[in-house]
Amino acid sequence: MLPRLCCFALALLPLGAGCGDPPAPPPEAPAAPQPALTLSAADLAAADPVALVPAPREMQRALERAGVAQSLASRVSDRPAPPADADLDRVAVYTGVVLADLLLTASSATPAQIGARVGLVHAGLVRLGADAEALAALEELRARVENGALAGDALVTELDELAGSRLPAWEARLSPRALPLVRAGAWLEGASLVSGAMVEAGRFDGATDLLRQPAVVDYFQAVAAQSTAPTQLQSQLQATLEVLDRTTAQPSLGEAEVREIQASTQALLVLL
Amino acid sequence: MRMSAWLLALALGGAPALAGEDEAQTCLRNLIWEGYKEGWSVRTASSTTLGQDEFRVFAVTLYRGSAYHVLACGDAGLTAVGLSLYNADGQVLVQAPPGGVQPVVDYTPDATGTFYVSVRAEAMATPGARAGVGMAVTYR
Repeated sequence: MLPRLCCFALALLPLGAGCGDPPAPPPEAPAAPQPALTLSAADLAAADPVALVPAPREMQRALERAGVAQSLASRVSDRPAPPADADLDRVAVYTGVVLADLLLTASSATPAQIGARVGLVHAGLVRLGADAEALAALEELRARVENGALAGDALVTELDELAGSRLPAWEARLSPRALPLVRAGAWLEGASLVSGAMVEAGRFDGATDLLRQPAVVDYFQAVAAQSTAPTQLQSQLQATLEVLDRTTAQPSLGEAEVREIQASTQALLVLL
Repeated sequence: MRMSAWLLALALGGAPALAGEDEAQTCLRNLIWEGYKEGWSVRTASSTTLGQDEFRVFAVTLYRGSAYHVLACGDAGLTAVGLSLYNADGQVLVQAPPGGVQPVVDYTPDATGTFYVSVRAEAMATPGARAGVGMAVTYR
């Protein structure tokens, strides 16, 4: 009996149903989660500033959250394009200012106004060395705005995404320092509009949270210091940033600081 | 040529890696567009190429009371991407749950200030390879 049973068992071995099969291996345990990376002081000092600067619409939302019921869009005014012989620093800062104005007014301006601002941004990027791909995206967007195919929330979303997601990807194709100076123009316009809104509203309790950004000022000072162009704009840019540096070095900001920020940013913007 | 590469890779026992920052950027843009449906807006998006355990640190200004949704996307060359948020002193505030190539960190600061984001290539599909990783800061 026993030999027959073993023969039967041996016959079943090829089917995998015999005696002595090794047990199935346990399911593979998931890899242990890695602890968060520890950053050194050197890591922090070398951090990439590409995401450092708040966006114009972000500044608007922060202003609203601070209880200042002022529309930054209502404070935007048209600015003529720089002359054909303007240096690239001026073109970059101007382009940033108009880009901020475009983003802030996208839901309230007329198609013609929006198209005009897109055109100014386009012209600025042409002078800053943008390639055909970047320019085509702007041209296509402008056409859709002007023929009524793109408006409202959809327009705001596309402009926002273009400025925040696609523009940074074009940085390597622009002239040196172009995109950081575009960011500077946008941020300085935002700071000017925010400080002006606070002055008009007589509300300064949110000043520290809205305007105290010393790391941003440091970043733009480093960018501005790289310029060798001895222009009036360059001198004013450095002067404005010095005021902002001194102002934002204080632990808290009040009415006096907000007025200083408004005045110093306006002193630069009028030169554009 | 591409079909042959796929077949060769399958014969070698794995799917081909479509490495590159372009893939990471495309992944990131898709997530950004999805975020707009939920009220998130993008401040900035950026991409880089990393090898095993390499990382990149970004400085970010965050506003008091604003909600932030920081995203990362790794291309097919990665099997795990680490994403963490730190305060101005470099102390960890939030670490994205481990595993996966699309980690997310959510944070609402109680004071405006400078923060830091780290993105790390924690696990590669192919040892010794490099892969594209994108990061975006979105807010609402």
